[in-house]
Amino acid sequence: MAESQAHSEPLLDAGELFRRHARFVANFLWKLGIAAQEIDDLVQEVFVVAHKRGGFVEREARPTTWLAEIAVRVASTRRRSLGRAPRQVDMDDAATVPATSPGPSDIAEASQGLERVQRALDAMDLDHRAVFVLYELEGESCEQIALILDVPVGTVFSRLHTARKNFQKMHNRLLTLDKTRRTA
Amino acid sequence: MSAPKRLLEDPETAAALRSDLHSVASHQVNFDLAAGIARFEASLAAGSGAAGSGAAGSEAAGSEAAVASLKATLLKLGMAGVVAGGAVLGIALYSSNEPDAMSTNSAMLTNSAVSTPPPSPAIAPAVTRAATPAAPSAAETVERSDAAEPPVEPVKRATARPAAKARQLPAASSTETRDDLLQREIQNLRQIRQLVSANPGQALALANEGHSTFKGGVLYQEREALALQALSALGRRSELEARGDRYLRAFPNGSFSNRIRQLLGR
Repeated sequence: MAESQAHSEPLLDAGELFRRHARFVANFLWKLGIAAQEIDDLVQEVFVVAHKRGGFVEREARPTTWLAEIAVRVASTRRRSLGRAPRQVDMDDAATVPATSPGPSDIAEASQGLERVQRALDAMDLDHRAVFVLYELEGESCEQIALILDVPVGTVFSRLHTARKNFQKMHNRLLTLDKTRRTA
Repeated sequence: MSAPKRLLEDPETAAALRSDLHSVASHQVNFDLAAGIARFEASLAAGSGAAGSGAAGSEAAGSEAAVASLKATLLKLGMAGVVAGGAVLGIALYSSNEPDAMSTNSAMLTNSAVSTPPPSPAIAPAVTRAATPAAPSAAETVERSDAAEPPVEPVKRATARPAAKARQLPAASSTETRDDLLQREIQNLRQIRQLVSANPGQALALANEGHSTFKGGVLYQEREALALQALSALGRRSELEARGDRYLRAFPNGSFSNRIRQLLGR
């Protein structure tokens, strides 16, 4: 009993986990497409869930990986609760994709590049977006992503392939559009 | 199957795309860490012991009325996410979080888990509750009287004076709303946190004052943890030991227990 308690003792207490990783979670949620005004609330939710799970314990995953898993679930639940269907955007409609993620303050400080990427990401459903963000922006391996999302690694490869293809296509269109506007 | 080269690292990726991806990868959203910590601690305190103490069941069983009322309060405070997380369902926002009163929390958690809706006055702040007791159960009455004394030792006059001069907290008035009280408690905690390294004496005085002003406050645990940090910085070992022991007895698995054990060298 004592031994199992020792093994299950959280590596970091809840407050410390929050201090160290709340910023990471906030940025990750933003990359997942959570609106700026919702980020504070969802960060809280992620850490409450983490706490209810007994806190982070030493295991294969890093604390950020473990928190990313919770964040993906929380973001997914949030999207469902808003009744927001996965956004399926025709690639020809790139120009009409609204930049839903950044709030007013973000838009003010965001560069065009930031906005282009966010809009290209907004064109993906959460499943593809999560894989793309975790792999391309957070540097997670496909194996870790499979663990995080609880899907076979083959599914991760497949989603990544689709996400990259669509992202590049969308980004290219947005880039062209921006150039056209500048020269017009 | 091998993973593709990351776009950011692939020299074949178009420069514009790589640059845009880089700007997103390094982008930092506006996030107030101090406010976030305060809110998180408040929600933990309200649902203290949620992790691994059997409180999870009570979260699901909280009464609709109490949840609706609590949700309204938390929404006003911008704590919708906490509500959505279910961490505080059926648990009083301002139920006492001080060690001597923890039995009250336990009783409330158990009651809500059984299905009896907690009376709405349970979400009233401590100051209001003291002024207008709303027919608590016999057990609650006994336990509340136990909770009356804060578990703080008297503040040493020499330490308390400068802080009292500089930043004395206004006393809680009976007309002050729950939201106002919580906002003041958060503000008090911010000040303590800012001072604890540069001026531990003043931070300690503010923490002790906060314990008195916000009896039963939801941020008790973090305030006491900062007080202990200040005592450690001041080299007041015997007080640190006594208060640290009391904290650990009350919150053996609290959010700050590991840090306090470190302060105590355990």
